[in-house]
Amino acid sequence: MGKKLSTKRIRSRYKDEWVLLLNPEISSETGIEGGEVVFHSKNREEVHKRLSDFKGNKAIVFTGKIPEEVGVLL
Amino acid sequence: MADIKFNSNEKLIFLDIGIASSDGSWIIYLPVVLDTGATTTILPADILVDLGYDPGHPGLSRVRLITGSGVGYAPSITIKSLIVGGEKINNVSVLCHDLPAEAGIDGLLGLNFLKNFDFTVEYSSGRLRFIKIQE
Repeated sequence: MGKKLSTKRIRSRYKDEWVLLLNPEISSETGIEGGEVVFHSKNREEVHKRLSDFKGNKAIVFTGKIPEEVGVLL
Repeated sequence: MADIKFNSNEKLIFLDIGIASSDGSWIIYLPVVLDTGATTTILPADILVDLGYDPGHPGLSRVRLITGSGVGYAPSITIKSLIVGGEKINNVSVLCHDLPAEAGIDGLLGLNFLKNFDFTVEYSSGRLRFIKIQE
């Protein structure tokens, strides 16, 4: 499996991507703190498709941001 | 009580939630948005399937879903537990619906979860606080 990385490191290494982590470290205050990167992609669906390849606790992190000129109504 | 940091400079209130698998043996953590405008928590079907749920089961009720862009229907499923900031609520109903990936989230944390708490949003400090309402 991959090396454990902090979420901060993941955000700088995999910009604007969806990142799948195995054995994530979770803080009740800040959420996902890091984990083993097992897959990453610009495409969210690609990450979802790979979920079943990995067993155990997992996490998904999105490292991008909503563009400044975009508004969101959910 | 949960005391959660969020980035008050973002356009939405993003937070990570944990969803237990159908047998309760493992958890997946996902980015969602806190949404007091959503009656129900929303999660994508792909993730629920991976967790061992069956959102395609013909026996599930389908809920009318009114969104900013129209009206549709989404299956409703009960998940074993949902965790936010270390606070866990069991047997939470969620709607199976895929939100656009451009929003950078996998789902919405809606009022059916939030109503279990007195919660505050402090933009000055970037803090969310959840105090569980005792039954």
